[in-house]
Amino acid sequence: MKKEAELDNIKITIQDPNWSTNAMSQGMNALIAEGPDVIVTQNPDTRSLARLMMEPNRTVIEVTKINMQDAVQNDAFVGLDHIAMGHEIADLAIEKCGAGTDISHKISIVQGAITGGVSYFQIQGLMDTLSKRDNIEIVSSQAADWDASKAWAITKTVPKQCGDNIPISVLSSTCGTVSDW
Amino acid sequence: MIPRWNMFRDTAPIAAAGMSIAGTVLAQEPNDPFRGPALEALDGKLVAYLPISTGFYRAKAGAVW
Repeated sequence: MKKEAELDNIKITIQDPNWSTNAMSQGMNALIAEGPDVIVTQNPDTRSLARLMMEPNRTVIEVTKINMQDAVQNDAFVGLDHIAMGHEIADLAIEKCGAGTDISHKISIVQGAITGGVSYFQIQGLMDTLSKRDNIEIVSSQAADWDASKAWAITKTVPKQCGDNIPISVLSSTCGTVSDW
Repeated sequence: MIPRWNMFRDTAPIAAAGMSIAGTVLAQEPNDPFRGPALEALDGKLVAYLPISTGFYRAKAGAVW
């Protein structure tokens, strides 16, 4: 963005909240007070900055969000269609683990952050498709909070936990893990 | 004394300049009909960028700002 802005006579300021929602909230408050022409931002989850995101809608400041949609609609969203992506992930799970496969129909879901814009909308699409299928059983849906170690632990543990008290086999354990990572 | 030709030292800046120019040209020529009007609308405007973290993107891109 900085490079493009310099090429096109656009003045740009950059802040780095470094994953801190509080710092981001303070930064957004400060920006609303300063009144730039455009704010380009990401919401760490669907709710944390929702009230703040309503403020620019009452001013002339235009807000563009990148890849992380939230509860408040602003001027533009640039990013993936996460709901459609959830549908596609579900279709793949059905193809590999659904009716007609000779493996258990159990799947485990590993989410990023439950309230984060990516996970929240992908899970909506995923569940919309899977809830209409009775030949898929969701045995676990847990958030790893974008922590690779936690995701690894969940992925490793769940197949052992859902073995129906019989030795793990392709029929008793999970067929697969789906994730929005 | 005439400095000795050092292929890496003497060609790297030329290559870097070439890549820079190529990058600029690429950056200005995406096939997007909305790009020109959007950039015109932003001419001289102040854009504030507030991501979750800039470090993530810097690290991913291996870039130095």
